[in-house]
Amino acid sequence: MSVTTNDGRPAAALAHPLVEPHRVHRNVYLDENVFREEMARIFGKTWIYVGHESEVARPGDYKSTFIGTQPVIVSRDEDGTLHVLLNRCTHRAATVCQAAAGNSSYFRCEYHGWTFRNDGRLVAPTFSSGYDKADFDPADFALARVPRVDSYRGMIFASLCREGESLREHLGVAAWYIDLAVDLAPEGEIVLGAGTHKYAYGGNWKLQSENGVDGYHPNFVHSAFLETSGMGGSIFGPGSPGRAGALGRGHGILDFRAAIAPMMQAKLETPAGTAALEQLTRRLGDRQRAIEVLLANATQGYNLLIFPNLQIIGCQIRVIHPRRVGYSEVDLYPYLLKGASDEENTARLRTHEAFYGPSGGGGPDDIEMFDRVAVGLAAEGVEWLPFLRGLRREQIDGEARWGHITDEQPQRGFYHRWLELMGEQP
Amino acid sequence: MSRTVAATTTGRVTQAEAQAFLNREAALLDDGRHEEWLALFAHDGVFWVPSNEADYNPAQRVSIVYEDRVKLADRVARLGLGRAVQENPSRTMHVISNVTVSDRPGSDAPPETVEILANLVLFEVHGARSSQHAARCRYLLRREDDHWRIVLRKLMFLDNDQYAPNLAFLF
Repeated sequence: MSVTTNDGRPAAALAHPLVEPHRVHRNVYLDENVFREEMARIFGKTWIYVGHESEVARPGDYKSTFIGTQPVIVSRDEDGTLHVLLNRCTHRAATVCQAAAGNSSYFRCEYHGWTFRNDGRLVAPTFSSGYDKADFDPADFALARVPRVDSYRGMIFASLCREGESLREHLGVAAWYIDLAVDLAPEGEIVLGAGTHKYAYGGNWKLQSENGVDGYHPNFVHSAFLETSGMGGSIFGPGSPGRAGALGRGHGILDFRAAIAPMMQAKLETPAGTAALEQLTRRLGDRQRAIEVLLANATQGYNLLIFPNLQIIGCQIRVIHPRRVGYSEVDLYPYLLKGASDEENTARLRTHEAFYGPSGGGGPDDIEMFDRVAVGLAAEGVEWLPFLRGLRREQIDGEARWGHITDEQPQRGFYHRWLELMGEQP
Repeated sequence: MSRTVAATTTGRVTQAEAQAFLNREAALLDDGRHEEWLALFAHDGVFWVPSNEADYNPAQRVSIVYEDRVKLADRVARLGLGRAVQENPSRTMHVISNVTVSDRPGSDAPPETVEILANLVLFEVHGARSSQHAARCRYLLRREDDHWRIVLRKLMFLDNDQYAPNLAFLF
């Protein structure tokens, strides 16, 4: 594989002692200094998903979340403008918003009573006669603002960095796959609000980023689910026509649409499938595109990783929160299709539950493997973890590199972007 | 499938019957007698573990578990294969207390069912890891073929809005 950066510089200009093009050192998962650097150079620089517009649809709606380890509030003010604010009182640093979501015009810090509007402005400090105008201007003590906010198909991203590539540039080819998921909704929008699955594991955040686009492991880790659900191993087996891809900019995909095509084609030819095709063709004005969208969505047409910590898998948006170097929290948001029947959306929830979440038929098996990796990583003397699978059968297509669904393109692509951001000398 | 539903015009379950039923269920789970546990469910029985909060319409919200008997049978079969996380099966202890037979069951309870409320403290040991969980429980039982059968088993974990460890065992 010839290694070049996205702007054409040879990768030799980038160097990091822990990441090489085809392998990573165990300390990328263990070293606290690496974690701190990741928070600054990755989560502090790139676009990070913070929520969906349907979660903050009305004036006053807010949700709290994290960008890396930094607590933030996503709020919509009375004029309808979205704000992403640091969830940190400008006085003594307590969080001002405790709820996961809600509706309020104000955030009040319970420590000393400072109250902020939902656009971040400090109304006034409490007992304000104790502050002299010479020292204190309330305008200087607004909640800190995350400088850049943008959205794509309802998905809100924010960047802690004032300058840099646009969200659209960051998403690159991955945007095409977001469209493919969202276009399935009869009204062209997905909706959150069906609750969440939340789970934690005692391992590094990158284990989950890698795992969501690892098509090698289902054959083994999830063999019990594949066997008892009747899915069999054909989607991920050695003969699968599915593909794994590095999409550029760290994004990756497991695209198994080809493996489910016969099943999806049969579904399309049922009366319900024909009706769905007619409806979608009318909305999109393009029959071929409607067929493409419908064939892709058995709720399981592809797993998409958007660098560094966002995944769209099945009918869920998955957000991986790096909390500490060896501890991570994961939010799964099943999404509903706006305009779809209640029965269809309920079926999506049940399909999601069957595999995912703390008690799902597949998710816990992944967590078990992360636990075992955490133990194994302590072994010294075997310092490197290889990403060599499928190296000699890659196909290059523009920014993307493709291989068999069990190959490790997505992981190589992920660490290529990691190297670009972490390896560059300041 | 036709079923004989024995007439239970009064719909009464005694306190002793309720406690015996829950104790027996706990023993089946803790002893790994999963098929016998499954047989406690009525043909239309549901096991529900809400996520995020204690109550909502499960047709509109995701749950940690919302499974009918068919899906529960899949779960039992999957666990029985002993793969991945089940390579190392969890040991559990269900401690049931505060068992209360409802005087007035919830309005969603089918007329022929009785309602039992209880508290559950659940201990799990999985290799070097162990976990403890607390849940309020709601059971709707129906008398069928001279046995109480589960129409609804709902476990409302106190911490169902928090980040959960693996709940990969049968609880």
